[in-house]
Amino acid sequence: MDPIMFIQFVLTGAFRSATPVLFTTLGQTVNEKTGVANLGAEGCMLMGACVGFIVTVQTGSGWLGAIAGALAGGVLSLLHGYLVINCGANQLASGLTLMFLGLGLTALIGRPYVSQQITGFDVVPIPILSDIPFIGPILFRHDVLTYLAYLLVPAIWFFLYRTRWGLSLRAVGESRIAAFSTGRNPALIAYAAVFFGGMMAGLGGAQLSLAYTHFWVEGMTQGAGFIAVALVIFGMWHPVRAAAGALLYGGAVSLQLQLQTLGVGISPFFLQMLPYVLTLAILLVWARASNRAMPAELGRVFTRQT
Amino acid sequence: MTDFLVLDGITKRFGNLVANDQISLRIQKQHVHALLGENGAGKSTLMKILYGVYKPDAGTITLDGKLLNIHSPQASRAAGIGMVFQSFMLIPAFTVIENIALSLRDVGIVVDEKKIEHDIREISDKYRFGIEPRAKVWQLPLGAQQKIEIIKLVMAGARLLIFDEPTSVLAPHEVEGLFDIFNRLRLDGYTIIFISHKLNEVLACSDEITVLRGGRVVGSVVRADATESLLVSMIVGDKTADSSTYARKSIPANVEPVLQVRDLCAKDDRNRPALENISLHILPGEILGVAGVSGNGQKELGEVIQGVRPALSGSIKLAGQEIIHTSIAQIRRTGVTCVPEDPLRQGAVPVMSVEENLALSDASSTQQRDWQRMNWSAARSRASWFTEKFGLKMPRLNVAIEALSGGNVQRIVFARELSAPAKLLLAYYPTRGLDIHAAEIVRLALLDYRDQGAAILLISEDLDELFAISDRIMVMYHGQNVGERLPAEADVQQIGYLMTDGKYTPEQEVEHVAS
Repeated sequence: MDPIMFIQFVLTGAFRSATPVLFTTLGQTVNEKTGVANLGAEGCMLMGACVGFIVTVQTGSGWLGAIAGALAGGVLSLLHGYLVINCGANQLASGLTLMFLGLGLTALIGRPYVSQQITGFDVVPIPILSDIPFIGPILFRHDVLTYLAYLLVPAIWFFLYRTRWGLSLRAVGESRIAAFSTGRNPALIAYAAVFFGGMMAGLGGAQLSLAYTHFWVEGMTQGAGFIAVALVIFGMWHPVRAAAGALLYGGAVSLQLQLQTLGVGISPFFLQMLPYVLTLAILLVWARASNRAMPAELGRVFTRQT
Repeated sequence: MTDFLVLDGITKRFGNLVANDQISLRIQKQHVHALLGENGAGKSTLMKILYGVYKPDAGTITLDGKLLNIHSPQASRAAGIGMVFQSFMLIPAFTVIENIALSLRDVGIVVDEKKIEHDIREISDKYRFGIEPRAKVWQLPLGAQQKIEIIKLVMAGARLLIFDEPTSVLAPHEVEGLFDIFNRLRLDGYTIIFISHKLNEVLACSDEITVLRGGRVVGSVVRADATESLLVSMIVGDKTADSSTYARKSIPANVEPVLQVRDLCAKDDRNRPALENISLHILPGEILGVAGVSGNGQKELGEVIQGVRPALSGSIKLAGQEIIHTSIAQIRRTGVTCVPEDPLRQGAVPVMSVEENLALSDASSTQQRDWQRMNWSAARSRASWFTEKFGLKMPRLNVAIEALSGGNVQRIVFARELSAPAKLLLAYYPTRGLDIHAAEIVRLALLDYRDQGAAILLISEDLDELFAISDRIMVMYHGQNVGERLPAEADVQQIGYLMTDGKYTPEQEVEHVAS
C-alpha cells in the first residue's frame, strides 16, 4: 500500500476510534475536577451504547438514541453520586460496583437487540473542507457525534477556565471547605459534575453503537471507560491534554486495525493489546508529573460538614 | 455613637463543652474592636457564628439595626460581614486572581480576569501589599496570603471585617503595617473586629476591648480606660500570671557540637536560591535562636536538616556524622525531631484522633511484644497525661485532631515531639498562635528539654521570645547567617538592623544612638 494512504487511513481511524473515549475522558475530567472519580464510567458507556441503540431501533432516530444514551449514562452515574456524596461511600468501591451494574443491566435489556440493524449516524463530509487532500478525509469526513466531541474540547476548556461555573467547580475539587465558605454548595456542584460525566460517557457509548459500529453487543466497550479514567490522569486534569491522550489511544487502535488488514505477521492478540500497553507506558512516564495537577480533594470521602 | 453590631445571648455547645455561654456584645461603627482572651476562651467560635460557619444554639445578631438570620457564610457575606481566618481559606493550586474571583458575588458568567487583576493591583498598590495577581497561592508566604484575604474582603464589599489572630502569621515589622491598614480601613468606613491574645497589639490598635474567658464576656473597656494590668487580670481571672525568669545554663566549653552545618546551599519551592553558603553550629544543651523576617530561608534551613528538602552543596554533621544524602527515617533515628510550622498539616494526621496522633511517633506504646500489636490502653493513658501536663482543654481524646483549635493542635504536636529524647529539636514558631499562658508552658518545656542535653534550633519571629530563651541568636538574611549575638550583649535594634538590612554598621549605630 502507498505509505501516504496508509498514514491517512491510520489518522482517519485515529479520530474515529478516539471519539467514544474522548467523550468519556472529557466528562471524567470535569467530573474529577470536583474531586469525584467515577470508575463506573465503563458502566455508563455501556448504558449509553445499549439504551441509545434500543431507542434508535424503536424510534428510527439516531438523535433520539444519542440523547437517550446520554441520559442513561447520566442517570446511572447519579447512583454513584448518591453513594459517594450523600452516603460518604468510598469512590473506588462505588465506581467498580457501578461498572458491574452497567455491564449486567445492559446485557439483560440489550439481549433482544443483539442482531438488529440500524442506520444510526452516517458520515457527513463537511463541504469544501473535506475535499482538501490528506487533511480533508482525516478531519472532515466523520459522523456528527465525532465533530461534536472535538468541538466540546475547547468548549469545556472555556467552561472550566474562563467561566464562573468552572471556577466554582474547580474550587470544589481543590478545597470543599473553601468552596463552602465562599457560599457554594459543594455537594450540589459535585452532583452536577458527576451527572455530566455520566452523560458524556453515555454519549461516548452511544457514538460507539450508533455511529462507529452500528450494532450492539454485550460488553462492547471493552474497557474503554477505564482507559478514559486513565487518560484523565495522562491529561493532568486538563481537557486539551486529555483530548491529545484520547487521540493517541485512538491512533494505537487504528494502527492496530490497519496493520491487521495489511496482514502483517504479528499476532492479532498482540496488536489488540497495543492501545492498552501504550496507555500504560504513557502513564508510567507521566505519573510523577501529573501529581501536582491532581485536584487536592480527589478521592476524599464526603463527610457531613463538607 | 450608634451600635453597628449587637450580639445578644449567643450560646453554642459542642457536646458537653460550652464554647459560648450567653455572650452579649455591642460594637460601634468605624471602631477597631478587639476580642481578647486565652486559647479556648470562645473568641473563634463566636466569630464563626457571626460568619455563619456555626449555628448558635441560642441568641440573636443585629447589624446596623436589622435583625440578621445568618444560616450560612453566604448569608453573612450578603449582610456585609467578612472574615480573615487563622488558617486561610485560599486554594493553593489557584492563582491569586482565581482565589479572589471565587469570593466575588458579581462576577459575570465569563470571568473577566483582566478586570479582577486590575482591581487587585489597585488595592495592592494602595496598601503597598506587593501582591502579584498571577502568582499561584502555594508559592506565596503566609504574610502575603493574609493580604490576599484582605483584598478579597474589600473587593467583596464587606463592611464589617473580622480578623482571627491576624498577627500570628506576621513578622514583627509587618504587624505595624497591618495596624496601619486597620486605621485606613476604619477611616474608609469599615468596622473591624480584631481577635488577639497579645496585649501590646490590642492596646496599639483598638478603640474598644472586650475580654472573654471560659466562653463568657468578662467585660468591655474603651481604649482610654484600658491598662495592661487591668486586661491581664480580666484575661486570666484569679490565676496569677507566672512571669518566671528563665535561668540560663552555662554551656561547657570544648564540647563537640550536636549540629554542624557548613556552606549549605539549597533552593526554595520556586527554584530560587534559599540558602547560600550558610554555616552554623549548636552545642548540646544550647538553644540557637534564629531571627529573621519570614522568607529568608529559615523554613528551608530546617527542611534541609530534616532531610525533607535536598541540599545542593555543603555539609550537615549530626553528632559528627554526615546526614546529607541519608533518608528522613535515618535522620530521625540519628536523633532529629521537629515541631513544624503548620502542625495540623505537617505534624499530624488531621482525621486521626488525638490519641492516635500522639501514638504516631511514640514507640513505647506499640511495644506489646507479640506481633507489633498496639497497646491502646497505654497510649490512651499517656495521652491523658500529656493533655494534663500541657493544660489542654478538650471534650474527649478520641476526637479527630482537625476539630481542635490551632493552639491546641500546636500543643499536642509539641507534647508528642518532646516526649522522647533527641539530640536535636527543630522548633518552628513554637508559640505562634498561643496565648500567654500556653506560650509560657511551651517555653518552659523547651528549656526543660534543653537542660536534658538537647540542642534546639528555635526559629521564631517573636524577638522577645528569642531574647528570653535563646542561648545564642543567629540572624538570617537572604539565606545567609549574617551575624550571631549573645542575648545578654545584643539589643533589639541591632538584631532588627541585621534582619532587615543584613548588616549592622557603625554608622547605623551612630544613627541609632542619636535617635
